[in-house]
Amino acid sequence: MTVFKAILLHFWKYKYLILIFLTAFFTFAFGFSQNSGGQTYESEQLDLKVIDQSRSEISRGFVDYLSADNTVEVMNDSTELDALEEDIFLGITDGIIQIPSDLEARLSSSSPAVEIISDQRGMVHLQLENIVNRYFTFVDAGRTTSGTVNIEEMNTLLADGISVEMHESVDVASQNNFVYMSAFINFAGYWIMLFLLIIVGNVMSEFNTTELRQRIDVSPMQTRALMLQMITAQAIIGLFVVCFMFFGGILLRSDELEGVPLGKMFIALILITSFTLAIHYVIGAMTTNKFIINGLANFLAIGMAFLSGIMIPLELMGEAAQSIAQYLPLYHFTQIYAEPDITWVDSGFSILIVVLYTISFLIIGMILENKRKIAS
Amino acid sequence: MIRMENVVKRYNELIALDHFSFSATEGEIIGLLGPNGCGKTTAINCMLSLLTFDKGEIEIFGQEVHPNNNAVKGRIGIVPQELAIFEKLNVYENIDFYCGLYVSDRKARKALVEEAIDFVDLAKYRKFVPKKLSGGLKRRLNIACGIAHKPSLLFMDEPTVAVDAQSRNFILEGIRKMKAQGTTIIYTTHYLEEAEQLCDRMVIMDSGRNIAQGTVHELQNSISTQERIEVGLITDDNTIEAQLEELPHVVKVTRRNGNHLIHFEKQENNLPNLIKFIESRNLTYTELSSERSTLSDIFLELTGKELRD
Repeated sequence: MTVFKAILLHFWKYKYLILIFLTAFFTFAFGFSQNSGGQTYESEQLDLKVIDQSRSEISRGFVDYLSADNTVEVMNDSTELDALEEDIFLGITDGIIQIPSDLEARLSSSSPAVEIISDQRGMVHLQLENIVNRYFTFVDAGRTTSGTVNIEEMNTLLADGISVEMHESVDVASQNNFVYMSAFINFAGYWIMLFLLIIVGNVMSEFNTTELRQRIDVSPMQTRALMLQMITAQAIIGLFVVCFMFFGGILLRSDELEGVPLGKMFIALILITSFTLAIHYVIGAMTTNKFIINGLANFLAIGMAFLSGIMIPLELMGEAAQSIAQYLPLYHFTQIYAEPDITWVDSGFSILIVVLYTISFLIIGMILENKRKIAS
Repeated sequence: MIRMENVVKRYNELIALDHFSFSATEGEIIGLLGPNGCGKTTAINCMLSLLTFDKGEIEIFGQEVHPNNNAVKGRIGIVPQELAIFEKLNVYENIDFYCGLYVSDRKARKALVEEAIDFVDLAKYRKFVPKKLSGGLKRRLNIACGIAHKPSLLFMDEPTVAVDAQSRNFILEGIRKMKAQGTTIIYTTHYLEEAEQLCDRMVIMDSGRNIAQGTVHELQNSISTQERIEVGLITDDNTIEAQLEELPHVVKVTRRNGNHLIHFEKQENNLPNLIKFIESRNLTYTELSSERSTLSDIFLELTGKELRD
């Protein structure tokens, strides 16, 4: 049996763990896929308190307008404001609208016409602001065009619904496809690294035990041939996982792939697989301690994934982190498919960087492996 | 076949091998004996080119050892003390894997693996993974992995540690068979009786040095350890012990199992002298036995330590 076959056989013994990994990945991916169709918003009936200190035609019209879709209680006194604010805190009332006595003057100036008190963290606040702004925008429009406002007519107008149909342009659809697929590939890249670190780490740590390696080291097998067989076997497993995830992603989004640079994404996944295996090779040549191997591999790979925008968008990180990221191979992994219409020439630089990193790690691994063989 | 000449290996201040020399010829079983930390493993690792050394020369099959000397490495086998087998591969796969490091031809390898399985009598267990095997069977598998490619030179490091009597006998018998086939074996063990039974020659190591080497007989003759004769005398004479002490070359007389144990200086006529003494006094004896120095005695005299120190 060759080393190559023995490694494949070892992977086969981990088949259930591999299956769990892939199932978990697609469960997450499917979940994301279901939630990626945009957000919906429905307005709800609000329970409002209005303190009307203006008692003008506009304020009465405003109360009528609010009452059409909400439960409104009008109060003339602001002395109970503290108690009402507590009601908001307790969730008894959705909001308080205080109409000042100088409403007319405020409408002529740029000051806010009314004061809205509600829980600013909730969607209710947005809905309330929206309702209020809508009314006073109409009032302002009427006053600007004709100098007066027919409140009754305006309220009728405001009560009419408007049917709006959004037509997404092809560009927007493509952009959405790209955004989803980029996130999917980022996630797949991270998952592949995790998979390789755990599964390959476990398989190779058995090969790396002192006793077994000693037996291999005293055999006539050359370091280069051993490395080639080990890397090839791992690469086959890596390729299998890449294909499974990549084509699984295509199946998930089969009708929403327009504008997605699939070729570049596939190459990026292949490269991140190679790079992770190269890291593993270096670490395996440095030490035979299973815990150090797994610890170092996790620290390096997940640390780099974190700093390279795979887990968190780079824009959210500080300038220092962003400048460090540019020197990391995983940053260049994400840059291979950074834009929907990115050309091979544009991706080429990032591809080259990742390839060079991988080759460098392999060379370092071979040097360390040779040194380890002749311990002093 | 092996020539180690004045090899020095240092770990900073510690001298693991101190001008260590030894040689082995084809078909010999050489016992490498010494207490823990005496440098046995270091010597083996230097021979296997797993370790570099500071001074001296090592030649195997007439060639200098080097990590990239694959011609030499291909003719060497190793059976480490620690089990070096894959837990996830079964018996056949384990042997096939290690044989595959030496033999690339699949057909030839298959035959060699089958032969190794038969040799260690694991045919019934060929599909078993190691965790389903007993300690003794795992040891046999460990041996099969080291010998499947039919090495000319085999290093065996305590292959019978923690093995039941049946498996131990089986292993020792196998080693004799390999010797009969012309394999040279470097054998380290803590079991001196095992070394006495198996080894053609022994090298006794202490503090990284070769302090004595030769056959058991040569080693016995090389030291001044006394000869012991145990005799069971039927007599009421209370002075008999004092009379025995008066015999020529007697060092001391002690008691063992109700018998007298007489410690003599090493001389050829000790037993005839004692028999003459018994006859001259018309004494009756129930048993009489002479003991030569054991390896343990030799070891103790040479190193001042028990082998397991």
